[in-house]
Amino acid sequence: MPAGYLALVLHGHLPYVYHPEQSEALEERWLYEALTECYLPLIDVFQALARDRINYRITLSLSPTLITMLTNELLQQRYMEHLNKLLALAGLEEKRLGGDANYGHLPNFYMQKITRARNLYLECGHNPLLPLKQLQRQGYLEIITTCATHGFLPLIRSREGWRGQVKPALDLYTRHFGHPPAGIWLPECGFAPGVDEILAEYGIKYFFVDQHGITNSRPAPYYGIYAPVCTRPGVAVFGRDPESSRQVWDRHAGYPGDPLYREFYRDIGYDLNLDYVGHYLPDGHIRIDTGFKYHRISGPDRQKEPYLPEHALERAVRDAKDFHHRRLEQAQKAGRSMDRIPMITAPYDAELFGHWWYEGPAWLEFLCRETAAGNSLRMVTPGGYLHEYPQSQTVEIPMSSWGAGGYNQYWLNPSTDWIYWHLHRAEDRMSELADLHQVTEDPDKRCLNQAARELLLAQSSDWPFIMHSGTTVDYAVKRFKNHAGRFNMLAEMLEKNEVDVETLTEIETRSPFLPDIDYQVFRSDTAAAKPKQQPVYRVLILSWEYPPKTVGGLARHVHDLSVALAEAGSQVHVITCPVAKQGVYTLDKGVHVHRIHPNRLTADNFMDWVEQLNNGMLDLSIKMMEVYDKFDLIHAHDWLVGTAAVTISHRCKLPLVATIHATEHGRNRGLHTDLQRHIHQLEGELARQADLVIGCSRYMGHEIATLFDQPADKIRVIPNGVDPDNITTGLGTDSVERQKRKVIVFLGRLVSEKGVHVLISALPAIMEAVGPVKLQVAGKGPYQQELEKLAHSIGVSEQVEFLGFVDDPGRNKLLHQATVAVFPSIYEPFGIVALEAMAAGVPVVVSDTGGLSDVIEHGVDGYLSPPGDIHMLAHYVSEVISNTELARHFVHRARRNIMVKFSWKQIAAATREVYSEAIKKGSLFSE
Amino acid sequence: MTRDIDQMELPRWYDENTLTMLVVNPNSVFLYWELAFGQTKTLQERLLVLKLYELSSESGHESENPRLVQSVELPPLTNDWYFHYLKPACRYRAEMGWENGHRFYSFIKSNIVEVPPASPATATATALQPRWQPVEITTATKATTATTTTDEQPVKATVQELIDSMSFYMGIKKDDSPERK
Repeated sequence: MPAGYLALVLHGHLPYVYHPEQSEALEERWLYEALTECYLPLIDVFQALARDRINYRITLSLSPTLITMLTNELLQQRYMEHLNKLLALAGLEEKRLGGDANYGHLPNFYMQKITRARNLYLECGHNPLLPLKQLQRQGYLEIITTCATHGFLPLIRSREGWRGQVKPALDLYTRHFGHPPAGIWLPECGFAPGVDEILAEYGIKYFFVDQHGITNSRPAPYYGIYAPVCTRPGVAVFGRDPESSRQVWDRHAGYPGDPLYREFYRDIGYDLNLDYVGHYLPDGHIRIDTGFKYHRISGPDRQKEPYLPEHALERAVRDAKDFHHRRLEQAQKAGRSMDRIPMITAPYDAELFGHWWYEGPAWLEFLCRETAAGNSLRMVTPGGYLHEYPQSQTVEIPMSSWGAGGYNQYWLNPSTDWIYWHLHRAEDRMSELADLHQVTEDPDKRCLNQAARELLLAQSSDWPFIMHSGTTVDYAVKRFKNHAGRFNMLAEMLEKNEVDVETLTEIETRSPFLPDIDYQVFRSDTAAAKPKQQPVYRVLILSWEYPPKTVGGLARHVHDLSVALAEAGSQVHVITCPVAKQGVYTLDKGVHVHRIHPNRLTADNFMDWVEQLNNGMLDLSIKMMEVYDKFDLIHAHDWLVGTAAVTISHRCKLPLVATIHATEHGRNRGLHTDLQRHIHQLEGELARQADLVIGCSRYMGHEIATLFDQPADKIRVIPNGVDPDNITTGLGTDSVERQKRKVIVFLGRLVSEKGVHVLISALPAIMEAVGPVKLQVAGKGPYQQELEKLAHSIGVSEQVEFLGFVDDPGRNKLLHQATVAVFPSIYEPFGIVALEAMAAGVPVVVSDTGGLSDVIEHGVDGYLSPPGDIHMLAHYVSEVISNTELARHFVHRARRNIMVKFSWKQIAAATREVYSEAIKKGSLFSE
Repeated sequence: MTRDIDQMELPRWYDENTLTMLVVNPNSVFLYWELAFGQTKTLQERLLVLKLYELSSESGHESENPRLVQSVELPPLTNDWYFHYLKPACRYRAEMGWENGHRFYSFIKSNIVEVPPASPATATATALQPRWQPVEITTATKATTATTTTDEQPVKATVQELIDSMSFYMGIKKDDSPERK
């Protein structure tokens, strides 16, 4: 048994530097230099080791931009030309330095190196991926990839943006390697909480973070960085070992700074006369590295001495032995307090090896040989380690990166901060376009796909990196502006419905990147963006009411959810109460609705009635399972069906999901009666027994967690939905004109917690600010008289109209005529009415409380007013009434948010996620 | 279209209301904003104030008693700001508005950000029993299952009372109308 495992990870990435529009682009040389000095020499080393049957394991990450450039024909052709030029220069140098005592050996040394690289390149048919694929098949390499354009995820704002960076990358990898990668390299090790969920969606098994990403995680990891941890969605995380890094990276203390190694900063491209070397430089005169470097680093304050390759190689052997020795010591020390073999993760930029550290590939080769020669330290890939130790500790990983400072400041600082406004705006616009164009044909489709490419290219972490590091800043700024600008141009063409094919084609030829990209990955409707192959779940839903019986909003909720789930491919059976003129079974919009026989519900006493209801549901479910086969899961809505749900779950070993729409404690601001206490107890029982609990807002989630003492990670927040079609029923085709007079509308029950008294009290101030207004109050309740009295006493009874109960068409008419809808609640677990108003295109002002705080983005799609504050409510309502332009902004944003966050399709997809989580949980439990 | 696609320039406004906060590191955040024309009109020449609040750590209670961390009067023509020296592992939100007397008229709120911790978890947090999970499949320690309690006092109430309480669900309108179409 080895004392430790060593995982060497090389991350290969270059920004997309493809300039077909120029005959010679300076930046394309980045690729050529990396090929000559890094990628081909590394492949050479990997193949040599394999030939000698050295048992090594290396993890290699290849970025999609790099993969694309390596396989681009024009670049392949240009690289061959570049190699030929290098050979010519080597020949010239041999002549020049032929007899030189100090430097005479070097031109030939380079001649051999370049020839070797050229032969390798020809052998693999200009495609370096082919030998790498072969090495992966042989088990030496584990090849993974990174985000599409190396976008720095912590500064990408939306989940859609994250998906856009991840999915096309995995698709490109799969296209080239025939299978998806096991893991992913997060650009710059940049992690933000939530990224792991996206990775899990796409089946990614692991990623890497810097050391403090592991050590600062919650709870503190048991093994530190010497074993992977796991995030809740089930993705393993490996932490970078700082000592391994320092020895290789550190400018002064690291190996590459050794005086015997080759000096990077002396190059004949700078040192020789332009008359001589100019032919090999861009435009004949731009000073740049040629790769012909003739000096060793030498000591401090000394003349640079000639480079002696054999001496440098000997030093690389010594350094490889040293590295091996230190890792072994480190592993032995770590292993003393561990009950498994410790693992050291040592990730590096692949371009370090051979380019900046010229002897890097040789060092790597010696390290592999040294390690294989002994038994105490063994090389491993992350996949290999996880295979041996599938269990990892569950922790929460904090935001982190491996950039200077450890977080986001290398990419977000005064030299780069201006880019994020444009990027986030484009991200949002891309999602909006994708949502609006769910079915498209060319040229719109091409235009959308190209817009997606330009957005991704603008997101490259390379641009802010270069801007901050201070070299070739102009190029980075130009590239950023061009991609973001082209995105804007394409988006505008789509929005105006004027796609100009000529311009589109021109842009396409500039960036023929990710040929198979599908812009739909940016859709906010997650169901569409996610992988398609999902199992069909058979779900049993218990709800005491279901349309046509609707007392509260519960029936409508369960109905809309069930229909959306069925539409998305689930088999949904609902058990509910009997209702006049409906049989015991109906198939309604794809949902199987089963009703308890009316003669089972005979009790007058509440508790007896509830017991009868639950017994009825239990019996019916058992019969159903005989007829329809077993279910995958039970979903219970509210405590009324709790007993039946828990019993079925236990008896049939089915996972249980419970949605708690509101709590008895919250509704009554405490528990004041026996009935309330009893209901509270039943709610708690349901929450405890359920595998996962759904609440409709973060506020409700928190209420459930604290009232019933449930861990926060058992609770999922899924908002209620609104169906915009419902808001238009009854309006007819001739849409009602919004009235010229200013109308404030309120809908809801008239109880004190709805805060209508605050609104009435605000009327005088509102009228003072905006002139005459009308307040229409729709709804009934015990508080009405009180409110009428209040209106009278402050002299606004003329302005307040109590309309009593209104039905759906009535509500729709009201909303349609309103200038502003106001919901001044003191307590509000969710606030569906606010959504309905938003869907109806009415600007809203709501209380900053409970679920309402989640629904409205203050100043973006409405206003949040401090609950109970008359003055501020009057202020916000007046602002919306008097500023129609701003109100239009709110309405536009609100409609979009409704579509994104509160569509039933979206809610069904989120609910399905909860189901699959509960099923996983349940299956492990029963094993 | 005659714009040169290799010499693109970016717009100076999008006519959107946005106030966006980004994490720089555990001690700093960055904010950028744009105010729509309609918004700018309402502000006239007012002096704008940017306030940074630390929020309650409990999710769902963001709006309750936020702690004012810093309040800055914005110099004219600023459109971004950094806040430094913040407490790590906290959640923050910014608001922009103007002041009149003792009142702050906030007209836009930023997104909420959580800055990461700057140090390992404390001993108390570590004392928790570590949880393990396999990589392929998600699991979590199943909450200890208590048996259903049955020894409760019977509660007297009628079906009508039950129906009455139902209207509270989802907090919406149709309270006093039992059967609707």
